[in-house]
Amino acid sequence: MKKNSSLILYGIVVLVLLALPLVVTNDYDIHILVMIGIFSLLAIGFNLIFGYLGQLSLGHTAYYAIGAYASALAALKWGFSFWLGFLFAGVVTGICGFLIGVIALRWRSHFFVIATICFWGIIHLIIFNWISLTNGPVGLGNIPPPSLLGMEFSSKIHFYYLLLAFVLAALWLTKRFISSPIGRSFRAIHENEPLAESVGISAFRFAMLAFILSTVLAGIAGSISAHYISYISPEIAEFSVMITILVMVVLGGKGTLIGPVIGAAIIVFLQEYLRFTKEFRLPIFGLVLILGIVFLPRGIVTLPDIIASYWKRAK
Amino acid sequence: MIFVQQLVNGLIIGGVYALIAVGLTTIFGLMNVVNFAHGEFYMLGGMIASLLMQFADLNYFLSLVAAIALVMCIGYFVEKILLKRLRNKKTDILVAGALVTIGVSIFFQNVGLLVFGSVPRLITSPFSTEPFKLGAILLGRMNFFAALVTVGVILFSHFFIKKTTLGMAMRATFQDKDVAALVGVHIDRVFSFTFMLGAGLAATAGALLGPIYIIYPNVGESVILKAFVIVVLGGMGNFLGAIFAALILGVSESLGAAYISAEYRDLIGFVMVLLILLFRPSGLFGKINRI
Repeated sequence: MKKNSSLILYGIVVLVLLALPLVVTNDYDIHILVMIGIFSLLAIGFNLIFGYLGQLSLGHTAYYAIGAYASALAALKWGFSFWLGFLFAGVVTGICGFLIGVIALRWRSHFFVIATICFWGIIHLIIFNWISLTNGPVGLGNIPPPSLLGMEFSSKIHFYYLLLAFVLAALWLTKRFISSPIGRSFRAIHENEPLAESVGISAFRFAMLAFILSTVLAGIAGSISAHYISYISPEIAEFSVMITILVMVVLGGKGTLIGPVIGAAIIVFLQEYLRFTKEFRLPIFGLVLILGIVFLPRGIVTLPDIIASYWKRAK
Repeated sequence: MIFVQQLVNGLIIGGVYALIAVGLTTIFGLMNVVNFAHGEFYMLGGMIASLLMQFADLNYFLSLVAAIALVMCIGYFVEKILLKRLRNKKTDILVAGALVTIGVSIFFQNVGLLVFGSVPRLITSPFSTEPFKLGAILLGRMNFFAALVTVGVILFSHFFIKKTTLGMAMRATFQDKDVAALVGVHIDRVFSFTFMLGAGLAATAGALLGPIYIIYPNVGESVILKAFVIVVLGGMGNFLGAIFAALILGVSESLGAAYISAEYRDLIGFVMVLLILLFRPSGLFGKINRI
């Protein structure tokens, strides 16, 4: 019964999302929805490592940038179509994720954080300085939009549906991943790693799988955003983008399925509507991060429960 | 000769790196907090010194001291208001500490941006630009002064930790927090002091390098990356290790920039860290010589 009703709920949400462009016709609003989609992919991937494995991977924008540059360069230099370039971006980021995972995942906590940051530092330097490949700080422009069966993705609505499909797929994958036997062992690792190891669960293997999945998600987000905006520059690898993703996941609720998407939606909205506060935008994020960690450590998704428990106590 | 010149430059820069990294490694060793706001203490040291010289008409040396004192106060409040609150909760202090200090770092970067603007500044050097000449090697007067102060401050902190009661309390806390608390060490006070000391050391570095390198609100981002590299190379929480690692990094960057590539000088440190994590995770110097 419960399962059925939640299935119906999911169905309704998906239908509403499918029908959304009928109501939201303004180009600018659809742009915001597309950005929410791109950041949702990033946040879902980041949450896999940060939320479910409890490790702070601060190099996430490196994979985002690798995906964007791989797919853009494939299109510009070799004339790959978006779909091929997209696959290429996924494979390249997956390989990078594997290589950095080999080093970083042998460690927990601080070593992990620093190893991922150092990888980010290397990628950031390369993007800036390998001018013959990446065009340095100027960036790459004229990245062609995708086309499907001869139809070009000329409108933002096409991107909206493309991203909707990917976000739903990513959520479904995450759900499958964490409720599969693998995922259950995964949570056991997070709760008590030595115990999990002692009953024969290999922490390394599962962590690696999650890490690669997380980096591939960032890579495909990068690929889509490169073809959507049709221009990329080293700015997409800036640390402030990392902070944005971090705030999304912390605010939305780390270690929950839907939390990162909610966080992404809230932050993208805030970013757009706080545009007039220009210089204050990042300090506000900083404040949100501090307050979130200190007062709402498990995110906005737990807010209903917290309010309910206060309600009960008040009675 | 170029080699010796680069070696000297590298050692001086390495010394200042050491000032930054020693505080970071001590904060990590004692409090288990990876302090992402450390680079901002560096930035604030330089910025406040520059402002004091401009608006309060202080000379360089007085503003150096005043800037250090002010940043130590800021460090005190950051610890008292935020980090202490995290300690008392049953959260993962490592992740929560990193997140909160990232928040603090964003906050100060933007305060810097509002107060100082985004234009990089160079503090006017109190010395003449005429360098000392030792044979064919040139040594800037400001660089020499920075090196002297660095050595003095590091020696002072070292003896402080080794010889005073508070230093002993710090070492005891480092070895075992609970037992130290049990025998009457005031843990909260030790933590406050450690954080202040770290902030003060970073501010010293910022104010000393202000006349040599430019200072701008986001300078902390590159500073903190260097400091992370050094802390891992020296071994997390290893005081002497951090000093040696800082000198090694300074020298290899300076030689690398001269002989390999100036654009990729920052790459050296990152690659070293990944190799260290792969082959020698306790740092270049192993687990000995802690604090």
